[in-house]
Amino acid sequence: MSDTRELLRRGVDGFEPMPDAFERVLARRDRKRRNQRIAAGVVGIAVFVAAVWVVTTAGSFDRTTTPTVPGGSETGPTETGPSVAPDPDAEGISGLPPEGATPSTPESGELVVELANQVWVYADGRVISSVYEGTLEPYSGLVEQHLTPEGVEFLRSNVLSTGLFEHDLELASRDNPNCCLYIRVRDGDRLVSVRLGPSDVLSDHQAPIATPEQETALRSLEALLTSPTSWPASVWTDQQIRAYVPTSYSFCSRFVEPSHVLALLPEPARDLLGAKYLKADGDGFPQPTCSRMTTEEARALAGILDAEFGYEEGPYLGLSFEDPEVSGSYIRIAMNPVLPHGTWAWLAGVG
Amino acid sequence: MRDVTLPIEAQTADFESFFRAEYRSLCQALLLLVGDSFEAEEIAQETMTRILERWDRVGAMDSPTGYAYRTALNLQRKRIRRLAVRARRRFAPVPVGDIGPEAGDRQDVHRALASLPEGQRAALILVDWLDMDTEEAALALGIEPASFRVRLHRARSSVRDALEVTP
Repeated sequence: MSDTRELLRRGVDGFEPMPDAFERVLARRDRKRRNQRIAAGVVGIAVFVAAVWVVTTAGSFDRTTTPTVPGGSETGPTETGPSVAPDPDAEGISGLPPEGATPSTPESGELVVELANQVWVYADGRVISSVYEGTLEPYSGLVEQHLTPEGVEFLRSNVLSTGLFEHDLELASRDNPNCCLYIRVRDGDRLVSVRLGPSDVLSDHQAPIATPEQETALRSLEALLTSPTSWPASVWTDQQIRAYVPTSYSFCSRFVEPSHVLALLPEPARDLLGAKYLKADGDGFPQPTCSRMTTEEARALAGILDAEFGYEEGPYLGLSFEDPEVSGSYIRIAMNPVLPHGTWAWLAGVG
Repeated sequence: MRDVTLPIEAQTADFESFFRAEYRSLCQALLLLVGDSFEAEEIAQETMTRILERWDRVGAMDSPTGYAYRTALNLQRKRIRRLAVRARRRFAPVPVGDIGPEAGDRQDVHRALASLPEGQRAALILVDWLDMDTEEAALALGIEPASFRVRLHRARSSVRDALEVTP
């Protein structure tokens, strides 16, 4: 028994799990099953309503231009990253793609539908998502699948058919503690957003309270967008789940000047980031304390940080320092994969 | 792998044996990892629920325990992300109600662990609390054994230093 184990024992002295823990696990499993059945029912209804709506309004999608799809429906499956099978023992990308993995193409894409932090649908048919998290262990990062043009339109029309996306809208949730729901959809040449959340996290603290119908509609959209297995088979050109391989990564710190962060990093990392990061102009991102790096630069930086500190492995490439100038505070830096529409997927907790 | 093609009731009974053997250790490891007993039990509950849902496959693995800790560490990372989304402190303080004769010592240890980077903290707990060997623990964290050993060494040094200066 190691000395450290004796030290750690002090950290659990007096702690006992609740006595009904096993029964609570069984109840939790049953509750999840029930919720899955309810969600499946909601999605089924939404799909049915959408299908009826699509059939009855076929040919009249002239509210906006149909998203351009290079190559149209004849485009075959795009070979991108390594295939990720829904198998808990499957090998997958952990944090960074393996050397030589082919980045997702095309490098840039027009965003059509977004469920923030979870699902991004592009006009070229790509669906990039994190909705398989926990089911593709040990891989739990972003994955990519491919829709037909009609499939892209199926999702877009589902979102627009709620009638909530006439203009940007913020709605305060009534009692729902789940923060937050943010959906964007393309309507012509603009992206229209609806945000639902507690009023204190909305930019408009006086935002109207969502009606039960509005909240239900938004939650139904969330259920639809996060349940790609429930989408009709006809929407897919390639339902195969592959790891999303980005072309570049963001490197961000939050509320901390880049020069201060650089001073805390080992010299090789400073050399790698160098003047580029010190520009502090966001490097194309809206946040000024961010910089863009290629996947190879991100891999090199991760190696340096791992050797020096042990960076946080997994799909969340981040690192926390205790700020030596402010006792008890943390400086957090993170690398996140950049998405085809130019911003990053917020995986590592800094944005 | 052993064959686990049991009926549902038998699978649940099989899982219960696993649960009774592992749950307490899992909770303790998570308490050391997150520093909050409520959060630790919440992650342990979700971990065990996921394992129960997949027991037909997990139970057939050579090391269901290793799978449990890997799942728990993944959930812990997601928890950190959620906390960040909610703009809360990354490492929750010990609840006010969490006091008692051992609370002072416990908080010292939690403070020392909280000062470690996430990866170092996990490395320390996997080896020095759960008695995993470094190969197995490196696998659970998805990193190379050599990197793991460096991480573990730094974690041990940091914790010892921190606790020696803490009365």
